[in-house]
Amino acid sequence: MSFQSFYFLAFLILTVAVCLAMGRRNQQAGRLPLLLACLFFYVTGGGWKGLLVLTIGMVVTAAVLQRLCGAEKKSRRRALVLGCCWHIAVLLIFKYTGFFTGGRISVGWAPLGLSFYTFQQLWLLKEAYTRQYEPVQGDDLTLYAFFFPTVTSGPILQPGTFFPQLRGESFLRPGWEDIAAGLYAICCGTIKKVLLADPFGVIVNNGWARLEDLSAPGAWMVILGYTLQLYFDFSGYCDIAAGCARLLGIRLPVNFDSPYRSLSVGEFWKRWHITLTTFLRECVYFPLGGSKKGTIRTYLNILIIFLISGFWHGAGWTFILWGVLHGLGQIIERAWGPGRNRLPALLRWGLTFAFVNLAWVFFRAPSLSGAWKMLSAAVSGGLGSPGAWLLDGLFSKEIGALQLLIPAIKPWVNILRVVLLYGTGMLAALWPRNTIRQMDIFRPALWRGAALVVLTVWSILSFTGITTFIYSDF
Amino acid sequence: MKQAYRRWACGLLAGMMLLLALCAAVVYTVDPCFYYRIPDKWQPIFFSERYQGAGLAKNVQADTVVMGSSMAANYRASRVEKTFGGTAVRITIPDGHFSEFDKVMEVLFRSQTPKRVLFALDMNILIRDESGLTNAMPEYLYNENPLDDIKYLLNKDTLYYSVYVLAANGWGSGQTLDEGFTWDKGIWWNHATALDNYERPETAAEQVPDDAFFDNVDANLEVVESWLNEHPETEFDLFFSPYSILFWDKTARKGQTDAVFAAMERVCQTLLPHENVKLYGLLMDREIVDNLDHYCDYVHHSGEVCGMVLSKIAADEDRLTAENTEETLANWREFVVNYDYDKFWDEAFWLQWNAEHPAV
Repeated sequence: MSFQSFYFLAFLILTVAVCLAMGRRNQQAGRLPLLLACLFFYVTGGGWKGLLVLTIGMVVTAAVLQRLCGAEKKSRRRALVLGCCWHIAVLLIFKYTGFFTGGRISVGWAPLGLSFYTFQQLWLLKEAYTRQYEPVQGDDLTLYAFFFPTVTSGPILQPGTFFPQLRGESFLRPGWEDIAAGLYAICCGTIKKVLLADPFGVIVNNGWARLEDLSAPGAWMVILGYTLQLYFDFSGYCDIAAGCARLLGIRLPVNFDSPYRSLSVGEFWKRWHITLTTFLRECVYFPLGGSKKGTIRTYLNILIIFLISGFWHGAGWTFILWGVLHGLGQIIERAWGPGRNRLPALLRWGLTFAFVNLAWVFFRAPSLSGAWKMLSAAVSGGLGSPGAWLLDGLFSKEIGALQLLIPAIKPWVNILRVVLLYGTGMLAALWPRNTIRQMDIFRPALWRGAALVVLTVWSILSFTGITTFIYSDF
Repeated sequence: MKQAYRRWACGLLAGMMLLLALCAAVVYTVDPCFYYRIPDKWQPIFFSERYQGAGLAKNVQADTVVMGSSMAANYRASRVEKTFGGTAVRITIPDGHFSEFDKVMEVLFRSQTPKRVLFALDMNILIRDESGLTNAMPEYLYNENPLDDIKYLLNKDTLYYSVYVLAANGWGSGQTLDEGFTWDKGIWWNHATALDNYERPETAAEQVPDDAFFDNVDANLEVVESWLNEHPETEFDLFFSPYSILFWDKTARKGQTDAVFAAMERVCQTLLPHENVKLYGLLMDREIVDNLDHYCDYVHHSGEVCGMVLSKIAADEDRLTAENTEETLANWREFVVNYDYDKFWDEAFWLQWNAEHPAV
């Protein structure tokens, strides 16, 4: 069930209404409908087979957690290793068999949200092992695994940020502040996804479909378009997830913190997909020794976590190269040392933004040769203006309506579409405070409400025929 | 302060509900896809066969229904009514697949039982995969689920067309059911146009096997047979669309002649045993096919040909029966195999042709 669908809206309204009505009387009683709603949500998107696989994994986690509560160190360690092996093996079997066997053997399907689920379960086991998380009676593993706002695409929930909230006063008893902030986030996320990410996606798809016809400016439009598409797509999803969770009295961690404002690649990863970075830092980088075992080892550890990050995003050489590029980018920054920080902030921002843009080319490319073609077009595609075909399907109905109202605008519609979309996109990516942070200081204002009503209604009217979230494929 | 949050949240939801209700009301009232009714207060605007086909099938009660691809788009209902009597409607899906026609047929028979269905069997469509979809069929207009009507009512495309319909009527440029989706006006129907728009393929080194199209033809015929079996009370007049002689040139050069004839034979063998079927071999009508002045490319013919086709069907001409199929196909095969296609690219031929056909 896609977030940007009428079915999801109906599901959300019903779930929130039932859970809050029951939760207000008795928090424990409200959990049951929430749990059923989460399972229903998962089954409609991931099917019974997916549910079965993840449920078995959850049972394994529960068994391992029981062993981890014991005192004997050797037994605990063995339980942890077994639990981790199970989850990693399931992930590898479902998502990477094809890659490792050159396509000869492939399962052909994978449970929805398996990558996120696996990391979340590993995090739980690791924290239970290190005693950072002590299981408490009533900690609902099913809700942790299948919580519908996060089950398909995260954020990856650290046990300590989730379980205590189930015992908190706000759980299923949100105040009007929470409800207002939740609605605000859902509207913002929907607008980001439908009115920004998908339109950028139109240009990006047009460009990648006709690589041979791209001039250099056209190629840069596509590259920048994908950079913005991915951001609005994933951060839009996270906003909706955070908003839905807030309506149920749960606060999700910040997953995006205006990443394109970053002045270095290192900073970028502190702002982009923060929960993934935190997981990799705490569960891989630190156990490997982090930066405490010398420079070479530090660089190696950085490369390892970005290699894992790349591979986690997709079973393909393009993703691996994308991960390696980011690892190398961070290593170069470290090797450069404080000298880099003395460069003008604008230059540092420009270098970082350009690097991130170019790295995304590999993330989007269907193959390494495809990425190479795109980069070649960006460098040597000539200075011809981007073809009008790049805009085919972009806001076509809106433009049609505008031309009906103002026929004289016809010669300007292409320029108008590009300037408005890219201008709004850059502005929205760089200027306002992150939505989830905004939720914490949210103040009701009439102008904000009116703007949200108009833009959200425009988004809802655009639901039919909208594409799926890019990150729901992981 | 708590009240302010409450007011804001409720106001936001109320504002959205109100605006959405307004949009839905506009779409419901104007109903640009004829999903609820055929408009009587304004003239319709035709913008998408796939979006409006369901509404036409559902809400235009007709004795005769003409259905097919773009090849059938110029069969005006008024002409059909004149030929067969009663009422008529034309529903077409350009470049349609049989799986798409099946959806239209389902809606049609769900809401009415026409006396006759005139279906244009295009060879190009018959020999390709039936299940191919263009992704352009809006499922919510074709299924029986009333809940997903919301996708029609709350949809910026349909809202846009609703406003457009009102605006167009304001400018006095509304359309009629009879003319909607026709495209034959403004085209120069002439051999020069037909040849200009025909890309002659290279001659294939090998012949395609006779049974090359059987899988696709069988799958397509299965769809057609389901119509025949489920609606015995309706007469299905199926006709092979009269592609021009250039189609046969193309077929020959691609080494597909035997495979196409085998496919046609398969169609006849499968459909003719059904009692509620009449099959017409207009693809083999020399009077139409051999005159390139009827065409604008290698397959699409003029509205004048539509009239000829209707007259021939009404007069039961070109009808294929169990008795004459073999002979008809054999004669036509003989004709197209020995046809001198190269003459169309010979200047001397056209010089002589011009001399014999002086401009009026």
